[in-house]
Amino acid sequence: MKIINLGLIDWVIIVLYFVFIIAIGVYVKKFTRSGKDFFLAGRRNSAWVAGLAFLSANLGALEILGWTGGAAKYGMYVAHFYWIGAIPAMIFLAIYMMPFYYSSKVHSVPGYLKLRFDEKTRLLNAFSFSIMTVLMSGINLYLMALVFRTIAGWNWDACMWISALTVACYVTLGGLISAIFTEVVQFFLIWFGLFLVSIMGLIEMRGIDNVLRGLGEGMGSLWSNSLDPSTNPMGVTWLGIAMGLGFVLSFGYWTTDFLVVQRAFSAKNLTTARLTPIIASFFKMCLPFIVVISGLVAWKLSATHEIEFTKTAQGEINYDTALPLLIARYYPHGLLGLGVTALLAGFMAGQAGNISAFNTVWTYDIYRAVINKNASDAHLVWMGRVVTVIGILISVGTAYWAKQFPTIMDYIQAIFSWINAPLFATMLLGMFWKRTTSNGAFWGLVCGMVTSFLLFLTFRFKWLPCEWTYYLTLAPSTAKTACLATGVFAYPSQMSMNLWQATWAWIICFGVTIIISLFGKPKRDEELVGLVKGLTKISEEEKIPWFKSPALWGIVALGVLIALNIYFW
Amino acid sequence: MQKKDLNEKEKAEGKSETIEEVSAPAGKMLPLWFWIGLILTIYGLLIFSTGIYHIYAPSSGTKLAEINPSLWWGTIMLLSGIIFLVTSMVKSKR
Repeated sequence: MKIINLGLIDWVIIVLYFVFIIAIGVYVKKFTRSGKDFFLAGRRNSAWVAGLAFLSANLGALEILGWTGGAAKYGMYVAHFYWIGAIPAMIFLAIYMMPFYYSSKVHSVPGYLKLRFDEKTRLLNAFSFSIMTVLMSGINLYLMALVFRTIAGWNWDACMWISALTVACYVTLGGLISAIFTEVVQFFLIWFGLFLVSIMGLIEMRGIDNVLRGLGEGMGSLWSNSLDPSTNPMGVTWLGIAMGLGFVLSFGYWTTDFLVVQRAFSAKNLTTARLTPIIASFFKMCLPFIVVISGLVAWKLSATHEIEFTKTAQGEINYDTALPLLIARYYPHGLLGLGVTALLAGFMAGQAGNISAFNTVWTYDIYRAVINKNASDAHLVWMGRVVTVIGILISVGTAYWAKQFPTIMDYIQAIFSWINAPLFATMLLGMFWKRTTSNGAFWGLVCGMVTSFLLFLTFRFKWLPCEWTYYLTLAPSTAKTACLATGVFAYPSQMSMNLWQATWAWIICFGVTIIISLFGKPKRDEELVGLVKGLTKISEEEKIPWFKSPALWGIVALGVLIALNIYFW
Repeated sequence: MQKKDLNEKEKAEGKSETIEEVSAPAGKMLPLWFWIGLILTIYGLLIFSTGIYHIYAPSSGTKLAEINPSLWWGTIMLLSGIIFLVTSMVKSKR
């Protein structure tokens, strides 16, 4: 049974969105003349444009639907993913890492690896990143079709092809400029299209106090029940949250994933590039006001049977329908179209983000590095356009593959922690320890990726005995006793497994890189100027007024983060 | 000629990964905020109109329909859209 029934005015709003973004693509095409325009949006964006695009590249519809459902299931704990799980990493990127990324004038994160280390490290990352991005784009497409079939009864094939072709059309026309424009449009559509759900929920519940009162056990707090994993709904300790989420996963994603970092590369100067993640961090901190409040309102309404979550094919409660159920409850026609358009825009901007990052890495870090070393700028832009279409076609293929074998989705979604968690260790050592050698970085990265992959299989197929699994995940002692008695280790949650898998991958990569580097010969200091701390002079900072200082705004963002955590402790 | 030599020197030093300054000036592109203003104005106008319609035909069947969210949310969107449009046009004229 579909949740949402669209009327004529809703369709008008949806169709207008498609016309609008294609018009943007056609318009910006005439300003896309060189590789710098196509792959770096001309490097002339202001901090606001780059900052909102930086956030929007991460702000997919899946995330919003998933975490609203997550809040209905886990409660306030979901806010960790927006606060400690994002903000410290974004500030670290801005203050400490951006000078090396931006000043080295590379096109991509693999491009930095080439300059700092060598070709093989760059290629390892470029290939793994390219595969990850097109596969993720395909999964995004598949889930989009699934979501709209579930909530609005749309035809599967039509939904996938129309959105894929639209994205292909505007990214091919305008490259990163189109992608960034539509991402910022999506940012506004998400706020205008979905924040009203929280407002209406608060009006119906008569205030935030009534929403927070009478929630399920452990749902209303952030940290007070994190000492013992058995007392919080996610089954994670404070150490798992702080280390696994707050450090490894979050830093791995926000500081090394080219999909988001590329937006900061498009900024017009270093100060702007450093302000990009900081501006994004303030909006990131606001998102729980859509996601968590809506999720908690949905939980309260379902507790009194005012709304009923749908069930999955396996008969489990489908919490992901929380937001569509609330949209259907509060939004009359017109607003309903806007809400659906916001979700649609979220999915499509996510795909455009993946594809624009993919075409850059393919063109500069694989095609120009290996296949055609002397390609002209015009040829590279042509290649970027061709590979955009190819990337979209592979995504559509992946989507059909996932439709046929839904379990492959688990593997594809796990690729992220195979690649990014160890990469953060490589970047950290590369930027802050000049002794790091190219071989150290390469083999550290290989060992980290293999560790992550093996742990994924180990946890999934339960290869290890109880004691090992217990030590690897710091699981509660009751889990170990139960495991020894029954022989089966009951994992607290998939999330806690992901966090520990990433943490171990990071530790192994960090350790192996240091050990191998100590036995090798590092690069000369002259080769590392602009790439490593201590050898890079940042002169631009002196010219800006104090109120535009990235460090100042970084401290303000950190202060707000601490205040939010104390308030919702 | 001098620039070409410089590029070749950079390539020899393995610095060809970096951005080359070949981009022509982009011309006068309408700022992003103009497009944001445009879509918010159009959507705001449409939703505000449905709000007006709901005053005369109030049976939308949704919860809290009596507070007519389309009317005030549409107004907020419309005003935000106009602010973006006007400021972006004034700025680009300067």
